[in-house]
Amino acid sequence: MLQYAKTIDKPMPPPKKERQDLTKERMVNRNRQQQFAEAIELYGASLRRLVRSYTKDQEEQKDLEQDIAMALWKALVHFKGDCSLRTFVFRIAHNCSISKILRKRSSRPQHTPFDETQEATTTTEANAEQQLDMKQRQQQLIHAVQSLPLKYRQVVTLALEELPHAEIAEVLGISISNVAVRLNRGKEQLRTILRKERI
Amino acid sequence: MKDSTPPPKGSEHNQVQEWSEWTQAWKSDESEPSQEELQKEVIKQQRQMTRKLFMELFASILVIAYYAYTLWIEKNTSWPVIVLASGTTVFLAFWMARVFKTYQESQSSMGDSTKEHILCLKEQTQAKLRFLDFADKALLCIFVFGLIWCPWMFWTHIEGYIQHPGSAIIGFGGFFGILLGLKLFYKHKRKALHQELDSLEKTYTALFTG
Repeated sequence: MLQYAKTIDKPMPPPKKERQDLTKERMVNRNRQQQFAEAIELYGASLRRLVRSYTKDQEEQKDLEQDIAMALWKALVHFKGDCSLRTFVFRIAHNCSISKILRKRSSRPQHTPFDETQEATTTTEANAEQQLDMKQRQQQLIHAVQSLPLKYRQVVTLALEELPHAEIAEVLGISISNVAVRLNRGKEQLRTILRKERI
Repeated sequence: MKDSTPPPKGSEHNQVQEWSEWTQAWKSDESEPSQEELQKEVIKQQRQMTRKLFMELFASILVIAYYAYTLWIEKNTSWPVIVLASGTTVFLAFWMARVFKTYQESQSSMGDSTKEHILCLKEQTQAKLRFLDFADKALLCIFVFGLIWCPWMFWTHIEGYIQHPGSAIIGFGGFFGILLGLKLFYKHKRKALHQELDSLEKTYTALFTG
C-alpha cells in the first residue's frame, strides 16, 4: 500500500518509446533550438553509433558528427511532421554520411586504430569482466558492420537500432520487402565475418 | 544413401537469440555527443556560412555597381562596353540565382529518403553541368566579341597604341588572359563534376538496383 502511494507521489518517467511519440506530436510547434536539443538528446547515442559504422577514423567521426548536427539544424526548418522525428533524424544522418563518402571518395586509407581510448570505470571484478566481454563483442560487431557493403550496412545498422522494417524503408526509400532481403543477406554476411574474426 | 544433415536443433531460435545479442552489444555503447559542443559548432559554422554568403553577395554587388557606373555615370561610354557590362551583369544574376537555388534544394533534400537525396544530388550535378555549358557558350560569345572588338579598338586608336604599346598589351592581353583563365577553370570544374556524377551514379546503382 505504502509502495503504491509512493508510486503515485512520484510518477515514473515515460519509457523512451512514449517519449518519442510525444515528441513527434510536439515537434512542429516548437522552435528550432528546442527541436534540435530534443533530437540530440533522444538520438545522440544512435547517431554516434551510426557514424562509427561509416568510418573508422576518429577525426572523421567527429567531423561527420558535426556535419550531421549542422545538416539537422538546417533541415529542421523543413520538418513538417510528415514522418516521425526518428525517421527524419536517421534520414539526415545517412544522407549526410553518404554525401561525405562521395566527397572523400579518393581519401586516404584508414589506419587509425579503432576506438582505443576508453574512459576509466570503477567496477567490481566480475562486473569489469562482464563489461570487458561486452566491450570486446561490441568492437567485433562494429568492425564486422564496417566491413559490410553499404547497402547491407545501412539496413543492418538501422535494424540494430531497433527500427521496424517499415521505418527503415522510409529512411532509405526502398520497399519493405527489399529491407527484409537486405537484412537477411546482411545478417548472413555479418555472421560469416564474425566467425572469421573469431578464428 | 542420401547424405543429408538435418538443420541444427532450434536454429531459428538461435538466430533470434544471436540477433538479440548483437543488438545488445551494439547498443551497449551509449556515449552521446556533447549537446553544448554540437550547438556551439552549429552556431560557428552558421556564422561562417553567413559571412561567406555576404562576401559573395558583396562581390557581386560591387561588380554590378562598377558596370552601372560605366554605363550611366560615364558620359562617353562606347557600345562595346555597354554590351560587355550588360552581358556580365546578366551572367552574374544567373550565377547568383543558381547558387541560391542549389543551396535551397540541397537543404530541403536532406530530410528526404536516401534514394530521393541521391537523386536530388544527381539532378543538381547535372544542372551544374548544364550551367557550365551555358557559361562555356557565353565565354565563346565574349571571345568572338573580343575578336571583333579588339582589332576595331586598335584600328580606331592606332596612334595612341603605337605611342603606348604597353596599354595595348595590358588591355587586350588582360582581356584574353581572363578568358583563358575562365576557360581553364570551367574545364577543371567540368572534370570534377563529371567525377562527382560518376560516383553518384555508382552509389545509386550499388544501393538501389539489382
